[in-house]
Amino acid sequence: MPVEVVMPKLGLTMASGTIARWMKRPGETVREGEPLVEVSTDKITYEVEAPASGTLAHTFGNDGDEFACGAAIATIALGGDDAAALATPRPVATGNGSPAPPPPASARRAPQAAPADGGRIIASPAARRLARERNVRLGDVRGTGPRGRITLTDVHGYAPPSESIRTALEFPAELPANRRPIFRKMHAVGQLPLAQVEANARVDAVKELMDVRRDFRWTAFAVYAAARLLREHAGLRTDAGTGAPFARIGIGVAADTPHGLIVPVVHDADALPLAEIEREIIRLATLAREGRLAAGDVAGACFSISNVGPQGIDRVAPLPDPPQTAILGIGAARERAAVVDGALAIAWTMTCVLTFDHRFIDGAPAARFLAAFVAACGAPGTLL
Amino acid sequence: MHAATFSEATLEAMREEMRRDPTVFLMGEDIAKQGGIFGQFKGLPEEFGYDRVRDTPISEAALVGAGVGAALTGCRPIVDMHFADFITCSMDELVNQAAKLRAMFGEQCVVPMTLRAPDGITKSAGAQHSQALESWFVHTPGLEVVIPADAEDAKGLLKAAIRSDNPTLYFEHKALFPVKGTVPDDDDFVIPIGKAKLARDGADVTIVTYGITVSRALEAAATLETEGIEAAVINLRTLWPLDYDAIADAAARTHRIVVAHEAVRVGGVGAEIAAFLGEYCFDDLDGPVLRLGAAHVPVPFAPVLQEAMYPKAPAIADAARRLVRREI
Repeated sequence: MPVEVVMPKLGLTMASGTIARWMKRPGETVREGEPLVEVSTDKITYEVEAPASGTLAHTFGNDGDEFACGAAIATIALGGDDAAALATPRPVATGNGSPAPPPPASARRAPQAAPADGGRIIASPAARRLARERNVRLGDVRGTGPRGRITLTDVHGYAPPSESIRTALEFPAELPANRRPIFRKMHAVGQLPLAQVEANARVDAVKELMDVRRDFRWTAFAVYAAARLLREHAGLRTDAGTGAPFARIGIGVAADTPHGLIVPVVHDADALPLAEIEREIIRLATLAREGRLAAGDVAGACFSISNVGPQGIDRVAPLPDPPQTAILGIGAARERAAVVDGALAIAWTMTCVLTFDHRFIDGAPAARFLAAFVAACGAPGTLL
Repeated sequence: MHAATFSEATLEAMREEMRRDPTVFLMGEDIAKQGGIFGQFKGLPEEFGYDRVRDTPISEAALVGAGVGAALTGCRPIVDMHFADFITCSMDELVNQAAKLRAMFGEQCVVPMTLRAPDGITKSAGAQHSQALESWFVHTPGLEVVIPADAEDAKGLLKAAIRSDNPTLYFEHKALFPVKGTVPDDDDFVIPIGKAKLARDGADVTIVTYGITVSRALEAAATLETEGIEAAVINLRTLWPLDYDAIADAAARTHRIVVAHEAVRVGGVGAEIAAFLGEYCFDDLDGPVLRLGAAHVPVPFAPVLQEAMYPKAPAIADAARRLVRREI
C-alpha cells in the first residue's frame, strides 16, 4: 500500500499551509524521516519528513500552492507498489484554492442543516471550540451527527464561502514563496480601520532599575508592563475572531531574522517575572534566527510589541497581527531634552505608539491603556 | 520477565515483601492451613512460619480491627477478606478507624495495612459473593484503592500496596486468579500508586477502564481495529488517588470517551470520571461520555441472567463504535 503524505496541522489555528519548496522530486528514493518538502504557514516554515521509506511516486501541486491541513500533498510507493500507476492526478489544489476534504465517514443518515437562527444550534463542545478558533460561524456548518449535531468532522470539513480574501488575492509573479504569508496578511490588515495614539514616556526610573538589576532590557520591560496592564485593560486584547478578549495573555515580540519578520510569543507573560521574560525573549529570538521555532512558539498572542530601539530609531508605528487587535511600537530610549519642573533638563525618554483596530477598540480606552503604560514607565515599582 | 498466573504473581509479591521486611505478615480465614481458596497463600507458612501467616476466626470485624492495631504499632499487615463482599462486616474498623486515624492524630501515626479483597462476578457465586464494591472506598477519604488487570499489575500493585503507609484496598477479580501472564523478575518491581497505564493507543476513541474489564476492552479494541476504528484503552490501575491527568489527556487526544467497569453503573467510578470530563474537559468532547457498568440489580444466580447483567467486549465495542460513527 502506498503511503500518503499530508499537509500537517502545526497549530490549533492552522487551516492550511503553502508548499515552499520540494526537496525531493518524483521518482527519487526517500528514507523515512528524511526531509521531503518545506511548507510555510503564515507564521513559520517547517520541514515535512517522509513518513515511510520508498519511492516518491507523485507530488501534488507546485511551490507556492496552498493545501488544507490533512490534504494529501504526495504519495510514497513502498516495495510492492507500482509507482507509475500511483502518479495518476488526483483532485488537487492549484493556485490559491484548497482541495475539498473527504466527506464524513457516516453518510448513512441524511444530513440536516443546522438551524441558522432562532433554534439552538446543536454542536459538540469540541466542534464549538474548533469553530471559534477558525472563526467559522456554526450556523453555516451542516451537522451530520445525531439530531443534526455539528461534530469535529463537520467543522473540519467546512469550506468557507468563496469571497474570502484568500481567493481574491493575486500574488505578484516574482514574489518569493516565503513572502506570500506576510503579503497576504498585510493585504488583509490594509483593509482595517486602524487608529493610533502616541506618547513620549519618561523612562528614567526604568533605566535606573535596569542599571541596578542588569537582568532585563527595554523589550522585556515593555512586555512585562503591557502584559500586567492587559489583565485589567481587557479590551486591548480583543480577539477579532470572536469579538471577546483572549483568555490568556501571550505577548508577541517582533523579531528580525534571516527568514524575514517572525513574531514569537511569550506565553502567560502576565505571570512571568521580569528576568524570566528577558530570558524567554532571548531564547525565542535565538530559535527564530536558527529557524527552529515550533508551532506553539508563534501562536497564542493576544497583543504584540515591536521595538526599534536596538537600531537607534526613535519611533515605529507597527501594524496589528489579526486576530490580535492592537500592537505597541517602542522607539529608542535615550537621553533627550525635556522640561522638568518648569526648566529645561536632560531626561531618559522613549516614544510609544499604540496602533489599534477601531472596529473593536475606541480611542479613549486605547489612550487609557497607553497612559497606564507611560505611568508604569515612570514608576516601575508600582508593577514590581 | 517470567510466566506466572495472576494468583502466582500475588504469591511472589507477598513472598518478596515478607523477605524484604520482617514487619510484613498475613492474616485471614483459611489462608495458612488451607493456602487460601484460590491457592494464593500456598507455601508461605512453610517459609515464614505460622506467626507471620495466621489463620483467624470467622469475624471480619476482629480481623480488620487486629490489622489496624498491628499497623498502628509498627507492622505492615496484609489482611485477606476471602470475598470482598464480607468487607461489610468490618466497615467501622475500615472506614471509621483505618481511614481516619492518620488525619485525626495529625500525622503522628500511619496505618500501613493492605486489605486483599477478591471480588467480581464468577460462575454463579450469587448476589453475596459477586460484588464489585470499589466505589464505596473511592468515596471514603483516607483510603487508597488499587485494582490490578493482569499478573504484572497484580505483582506490582500488591507490592506497592504493602509498601504504602496508607490503608490500601487491593481488589482482585476472582476470575483473574488462574489467568496466565508475565511478570518482571526484579524484586523491586513496584507499580506506582496513582498512575494509569495506556494499555493500547488509538486516535478515535478511548476506553477508560480497570480490573478485569481491561481485558474485555482490549478484546473490543481488537474487534474495532478490523473495522478501521482505532480505540485506545486506559488501565487505571489505581482508583484512588485517581489519575485525572491521564483521563484529561485521553479526552484531549481522542475527543470521545467510553468508561467501562463491572461494578454497578449507577454511582460507580465511571460516574466520577464522566463528571470530571464534563466539568474540566468539556471543550475537548465531541460526543457524550458513555458509561458501561452492571445493571442496578443484585447479581443473579441464574447463569443466563448473570451473564447478561455486566458489560463484556461486544457491548464495549458497540458503545465505542456508535460514538465514533456519531450515532449517539
